Amino acid sequence: MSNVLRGLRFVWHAKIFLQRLLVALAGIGLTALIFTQVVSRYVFETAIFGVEEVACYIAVWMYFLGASLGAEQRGHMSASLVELLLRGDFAQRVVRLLVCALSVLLCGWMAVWAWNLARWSLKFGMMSTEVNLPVGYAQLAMPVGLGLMTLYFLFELIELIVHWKRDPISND
Amino acid sequence: MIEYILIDAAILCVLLIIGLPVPLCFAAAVLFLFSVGNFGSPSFLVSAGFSQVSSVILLAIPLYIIAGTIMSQGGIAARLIDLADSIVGRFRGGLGVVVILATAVFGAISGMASSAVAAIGTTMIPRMVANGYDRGYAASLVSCSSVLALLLPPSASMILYGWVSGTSITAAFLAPILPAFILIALFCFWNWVLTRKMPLRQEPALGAREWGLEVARRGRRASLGLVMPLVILGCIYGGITTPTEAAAIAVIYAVPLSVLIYRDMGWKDLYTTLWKAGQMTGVLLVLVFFASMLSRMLTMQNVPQLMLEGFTHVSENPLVLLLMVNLFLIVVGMLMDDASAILLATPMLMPIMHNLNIDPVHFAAIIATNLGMGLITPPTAPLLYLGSLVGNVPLVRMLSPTMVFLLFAYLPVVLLTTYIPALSLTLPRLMGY
Repeated sequence: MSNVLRGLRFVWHAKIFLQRLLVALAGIGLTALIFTQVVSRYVFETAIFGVEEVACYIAVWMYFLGASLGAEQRGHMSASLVELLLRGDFAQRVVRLLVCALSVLLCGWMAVWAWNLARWSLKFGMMSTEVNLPVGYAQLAMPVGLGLMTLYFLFELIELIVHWKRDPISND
Repeated sequence: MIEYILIDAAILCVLLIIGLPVPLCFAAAVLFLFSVGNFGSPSFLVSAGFSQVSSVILLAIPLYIIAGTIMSQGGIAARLIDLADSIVGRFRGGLGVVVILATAVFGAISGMASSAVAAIGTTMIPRMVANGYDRGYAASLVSCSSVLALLLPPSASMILYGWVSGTSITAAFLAPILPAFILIALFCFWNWVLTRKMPLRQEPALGAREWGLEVARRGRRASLGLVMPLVILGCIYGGITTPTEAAAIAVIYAVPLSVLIYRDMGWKDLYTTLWKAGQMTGVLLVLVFFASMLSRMLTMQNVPQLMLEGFTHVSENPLVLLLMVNLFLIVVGMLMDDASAILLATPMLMPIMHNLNIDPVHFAAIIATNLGMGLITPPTAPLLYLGSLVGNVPLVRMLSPTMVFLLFAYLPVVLLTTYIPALSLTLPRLMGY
């Protein structure tokens, strides 16, 4: 059992490492492409066709993988007034449970919508206008990112339920 | 349908208040409207969101966030703070002025108020406290000054505004500059007033010659970092590059500067900085994704026109209408962050602005100053919460100085910007927009 747990933990950390690596590489790729276009346009006085389109598609993967990392680090923006309005620990805990459950539901729902669009684009061979890339591969970033967000919110929810009585409430 | 839209707005507010992540509040609002309205296939909405986030214009946002993060982690920001400190730090209350200037410069480069609070607050609040400043005051000053990130170019909010409204981003960058300078001057004045009774520890005053030498020494250390904002602004306003291309140049400039010249950042730190910047970008852009979907649905339901009719029903006097727009924007700014607020409020208010013959460039400055005020107006005030977290101080201790900054610095600037168009239009006109 402990070997299974160790294996799962390894897969979990490897997945997070891969996400971070892909996001960092997307940042490098994005910068390199736009800078190449600047050099090409202003030094060699010729624009490379389709660079912006490729950069945009890389950026979309960066956005959605980055957003899923945000969910993993619990770094999404929120404007909670719960701490001001509700004084009791129990009430705050219930609201937090509700927020987590809603996050799982909404992310999951949106992931399904996004998957349907990407699947449709891939099935009908939708191509981009400039460099003829399959649009579906860029659109896949949405279900992947939203799916990962669903997974991270689900883990947060499970953690909240498992530790319901043990830990004092924290916002970390 | 109007009653469903009001219920949708109520759902959005309740979910924001209970602390659901902001992008998911928009997702919930989208789901509700979709379930009660006739919007066809959900793929149409997702496709609309996708086409918005895959826009070339928005590429500037990740690039500026990467540049700002490298600047903060790679020692560039620290050297700029040092320089500002050498110039004004030895005057009474000078450290407060350093914070205002540093937050303005850093917020401008990173384009985001929240990253300015985190980056400057972490280093400057403990330093201010050690020098005798009240902790609540220090956290309040950092939070309030961070709003300058919205006003000074290259600001992520103005990129979003230009993109949503179809206004030139370069012109939108220029519009809030003069209001920002007035705000900086007022912040410096109130900093001087509010710190008069604090037991501040002053470094011994230097003679004119020693002071000049010290400024020159720190200026030399910071000179390569100072080039960075000059390169960005020079490239944009010299007509050499687009804002997105200038951002890529800034990243390419910042990496060797931080890693090879200053050596404040190793390659491993650069990797961490890159994925963290990607995370910040993702958190912001997924919000743009959902807000774009909601905005599309509201536009399909003719909500902007309904708002115009609602506003003009109350009064047709342009001054009253503008005041109502001010109030609306401040309330929206109190409820959500600047990016979400711009994405939602801009298409809603554009018909009113057309009706009042307000130039879209002028509206850029109006929206930036109003939303900025909303971000630090209690009870929601997301930036104050962040400041209280970074400064490790209860929000209540920040309220008194915050109210002074709000009423005697922010409010006058909001009113001046709204009612004196020349304040925001002079610079864009000078540059030919």
